Amino acid sequence: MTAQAQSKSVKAMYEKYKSNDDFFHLELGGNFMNFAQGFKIDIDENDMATVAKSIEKLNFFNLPDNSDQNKMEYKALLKGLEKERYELLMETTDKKSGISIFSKGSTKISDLVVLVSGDEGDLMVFEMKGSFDQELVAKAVNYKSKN
Amino acid sequence: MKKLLFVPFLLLAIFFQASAQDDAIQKFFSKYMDDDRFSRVYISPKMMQMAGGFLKSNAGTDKEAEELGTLISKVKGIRILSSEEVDGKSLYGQVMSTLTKNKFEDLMDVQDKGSSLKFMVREEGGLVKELLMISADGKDFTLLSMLGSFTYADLNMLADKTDIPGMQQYGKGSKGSKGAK
Repeated sequence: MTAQAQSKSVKAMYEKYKSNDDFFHLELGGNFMNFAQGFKIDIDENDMATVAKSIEKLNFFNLPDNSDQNKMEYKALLKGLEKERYELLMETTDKKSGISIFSKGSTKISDLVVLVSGDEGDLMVFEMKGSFDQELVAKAVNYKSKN
Repeated sequence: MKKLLFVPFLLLAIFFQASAQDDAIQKFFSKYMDDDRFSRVYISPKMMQMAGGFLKSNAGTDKEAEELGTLISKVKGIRILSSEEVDGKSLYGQVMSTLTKNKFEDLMDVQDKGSSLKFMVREEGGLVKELLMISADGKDFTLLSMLGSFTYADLNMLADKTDIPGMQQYGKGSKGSKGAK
């Protein structure tokens, strides 16, 4: 299963803020191995390398500081992703801060969206596109935890 | 003709029955999930399956790790609702009355000075389909739900071998009254 188009909800959020000077956006595509090596992440095992190669694109967004607006944006993204049939993998919230991880796919996870909201109303969105085997991801997590 | 019309409705009903995987927190206490005084944690079945797969794939020749991986994969979601700024006792009372009305049975009850800790279960066909932990102490309140399909031996193994939320308390309690059921 190849990566589908970017999440519509994330894209809508990007379109809304892209002209704002305080909006930060980083996009990494192509050879993720080079990116990972650049950051000195040790990836010499086959499984980890396969996982890294499975990432086709990585988007990172940091929304402008505006606590009330970002709270609404967080809720809108939650609803939007659910409508797009993203599945909530894991969530933890504590008063104002929270992390929600969404994914698509069953045995193969095809897209991952991570929403991180901070105590001071900051909101970050990570979007990873690719095709990851659940067991492979598990192996990679284990490999990272050992190092 | 009427019989033919009945079939899609029956299939639809079966589908909804099969997909009704709501835990007690979602069913009865969803109003607290939007309450800012409460912290929420949710771990999906897929996440548990991944954790189980991770254990199994690294078990090698370790039979116990493989069994534990299989057991963890049986957990069909964990949801926790907790707060440190509510009237724990009063909320505990409210929750108890809702749960007992809805066929949850007591499994373990620990009352110690001002604190209360209770484990309740919903059983189907001799298997535990949902395990609930309710704890209250002064202004603290925690409600935990774990869905799945477990035997009591499975729960004891989870309590002994894992750090899954709630299992530590379960382990401590069950050692007091060995073989809770």
